[in-house]
Amino acid sequence: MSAVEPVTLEEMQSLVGRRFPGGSARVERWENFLLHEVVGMTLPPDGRIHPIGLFHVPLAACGWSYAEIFEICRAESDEAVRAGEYEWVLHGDVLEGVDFDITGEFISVDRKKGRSVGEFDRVTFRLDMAERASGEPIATVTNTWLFIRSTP
Amino acid sequence: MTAPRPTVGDPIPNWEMAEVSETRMQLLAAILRDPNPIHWDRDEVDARGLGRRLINQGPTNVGYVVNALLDWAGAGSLKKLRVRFTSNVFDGESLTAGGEVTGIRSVDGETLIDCSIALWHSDGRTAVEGEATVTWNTDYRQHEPQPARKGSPDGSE
Repeated sequence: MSAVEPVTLEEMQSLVGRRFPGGSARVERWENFLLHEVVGMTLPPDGRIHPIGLFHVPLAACGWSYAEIFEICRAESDEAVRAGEYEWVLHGDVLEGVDFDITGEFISVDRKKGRSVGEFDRVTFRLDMAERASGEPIATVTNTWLFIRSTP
Repeated sequence: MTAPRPTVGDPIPNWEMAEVSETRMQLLAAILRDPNPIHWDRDEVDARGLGRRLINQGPTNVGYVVNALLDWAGAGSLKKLRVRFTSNVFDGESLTAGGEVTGIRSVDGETLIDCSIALWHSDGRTAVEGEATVTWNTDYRQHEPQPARKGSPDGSE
């Protein structure tokens, strides 16, 4: 990865406050059935989406692809990205067949050093999910991803 | 079904995944349109020096912990969850999800239960660690999952 252009902490911290383009999402029953199947649970009859949908549904509708987020965060390769921390706060029921609007922004960037991976940037962004019809907030998802820097 | 209100120190009943399956990893990769081959191509995992076993997706690992919470507190009870990934999970592994009650609060007339949560490998190492908050409302506890399906490798009963 010697060809990778080094990125300064100041450049990375300029991401803070940058907003995601945003978008909309809807989970149909078939997808919810499959999500429950993946984690070995029975589909409930009440239309509630399995909470693991909060991993990908807001991200899929945030207006950027994973590749674009990696590029914005100056990832040196796919292997140089690690999942850090995930936090979900549910304000209401996440239901099948409901349209949600997704908005988001980068909220923090720190540079740290780990024993095994060396220097890395800890990038945190928040995605807010609201029911389109009512505007009511449904969930807030805060993701922290780690971007390993091989170039000092 | 009504269960007694928990107290601090109570364990969250364990939820077991008997065998992490390749088929389910492939299914989630398709749902997520995740091109990362570590979830479906053993040769690629091998080439990266990670052995011959596929690596389970992080969301699925968290899903097992969520299953433990929902089995215990009921569908719709999850209010907050914060997790960190501490080690990889590979296909063929058996896992246990669970936790412990760490606090009980009343907010606007709602009973909130704070918990520590984890997903353990069979050797006791953790794969996921974190904290969660659930509501304790007997109304939520009407849709008990069917234990026969839990953790079966292919979802069959």
